[in-house]
Amino acid sequence: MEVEVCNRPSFAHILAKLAPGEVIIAESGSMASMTSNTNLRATWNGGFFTAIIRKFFGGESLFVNEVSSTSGTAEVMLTQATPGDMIAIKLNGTEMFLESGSFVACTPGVTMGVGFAGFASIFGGEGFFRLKVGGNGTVWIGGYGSIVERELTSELTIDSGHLIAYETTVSLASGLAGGIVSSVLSKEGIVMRARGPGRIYLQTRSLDGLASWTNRFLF
Amino acid sequence: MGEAEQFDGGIFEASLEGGRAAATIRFRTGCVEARVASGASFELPYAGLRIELGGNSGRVVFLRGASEGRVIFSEAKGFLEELRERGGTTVEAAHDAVLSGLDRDRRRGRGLWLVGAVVLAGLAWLIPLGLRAGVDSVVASLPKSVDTQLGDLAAMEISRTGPTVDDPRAAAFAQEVVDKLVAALPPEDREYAFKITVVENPQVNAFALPGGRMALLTGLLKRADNADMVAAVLAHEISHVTKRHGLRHMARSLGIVAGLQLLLGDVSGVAAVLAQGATLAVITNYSREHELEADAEGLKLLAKAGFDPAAMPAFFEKLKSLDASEIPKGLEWISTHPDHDSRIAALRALLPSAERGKAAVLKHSFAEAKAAVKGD
Repeated sequence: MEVEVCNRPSFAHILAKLAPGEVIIAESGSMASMTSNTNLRATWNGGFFTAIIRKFFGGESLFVNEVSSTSGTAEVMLTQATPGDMIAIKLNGTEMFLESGSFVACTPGVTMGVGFAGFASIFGGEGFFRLKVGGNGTVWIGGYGSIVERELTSELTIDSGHLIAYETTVSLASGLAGGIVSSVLSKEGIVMRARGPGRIYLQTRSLDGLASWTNRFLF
Repeated sequence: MGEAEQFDGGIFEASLEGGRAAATIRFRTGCVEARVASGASFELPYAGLRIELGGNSGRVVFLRGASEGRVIFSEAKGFLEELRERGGTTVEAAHDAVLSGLDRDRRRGRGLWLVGAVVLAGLAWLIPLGLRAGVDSVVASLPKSVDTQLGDLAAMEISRTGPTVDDPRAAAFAQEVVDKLVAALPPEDREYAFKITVVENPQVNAFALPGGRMALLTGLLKRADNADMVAAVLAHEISHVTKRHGLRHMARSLGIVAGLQLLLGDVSGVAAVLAQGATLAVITNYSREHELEADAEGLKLLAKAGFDPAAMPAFFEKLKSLDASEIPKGLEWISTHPDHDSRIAALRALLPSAERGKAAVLKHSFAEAKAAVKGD
């Protein structure tokens, strides 16, 4: 399987070339184009119950697509809803949490489950559940803006809405950016404090930020 | 136990591709060993081992060497216990420090769940309460014609209760009592068209429909000792009308969805359901809260209209002694309430505060009205 992330970072998309027998799992709705020898099959997003939980509590789709080739090399283009970068993450049996909406695609060796997000995530406005990926393989994630990878050595404070993926070894706590007054005045509100060891992935823009920016012109 | 015990986990190690990998962890003599899928194995000696808890779940055990960047971790059950056993006294201090931290976190976790449960329980209690208050306030804003329409829908139920008693001695007496009571109402409540029908039926009962249509059953007339007792029951029923209990009860029993509809102001859909459910049994099946309110309001009205307020608890007392067959199910407005005695006690407590108006003088005689109706 030959997978390339093209047009980085602003309007990245994935171009996957699949030989017969090769499969790539893609988020439903992510297919932008495919050659006629491509087979697209919808399956439960990580099992029936996991899919249901992810759909209703994690804001993810109920199904994912299994993309394969019927004959010869099939070519499929996968995109995401937001303008921004996509990256490939290789999993060596290690596990990661993905925030809702950031999953784009993965290889079949990657397992998909659902994990309770914890109080920090709920208070941080990131939802009740999130996708947990593990196993061996590659997972492609997408974000709004560029994606920044950080290996945590000490504590890092992250504004809510910027964190899109993190390893399970990373602990998260929610809190105010400063004191109550300065948190409100600085417009940072609730932030997450991430502690390693482990790696986190941040998007350089947040949809909340975009929404509040556009709202100024609407009201 | 023994050498074979192994745990799933992982390792951070600079020499690995990507800097980390899943690993199988074993506790050996003198060191902890992590073996990755490629077969490579890495060790951390017990001496100088630092133990930390963390990770997203807060239950990941991290083992760090004294100086190296290497970190071995696992979230597996029994990992800490095995480390303590195999590491012996070398890891004792570090291990115990972690355990006390773990206990503290568990206690805090339990506290958080408790707070969450209390908050949820509070919401479960507050939401219906708010909804109820909302529905009541919407009902209060509906025009009085809605009551009349609802009452009209159920009006035929009056004739179903029994034949109308036309004898003017009974009919005029009942209407006069009602008129006296209505005259004591505040002006805005007099807008309802209070009209009473005497219905031949042995049951000891009277009822009022939203909008002011009322029925007095001959059984009640027969059982009452004096005009004040009849007035007491009718005052109670008039209070149901002025407090709009019928409409409020209907609105509440329509359920949450309709309640929300009412709150949002979409009355058309609700009106259709109201029409469907507008039967006497449904409308007059008031809640305990409404009954108590009608008692208290009725008592005030009774006294203000110049009747003897003590007649209300007295009549309730009398009903207690009645045979169960005379107090029908469904329609009866007193027998359905098991807390009969507490209602009587509540009324007696209110007696001193009931301001009595000029004594009511009736043109029509109670005795003649009683004589006019059939039965023993």
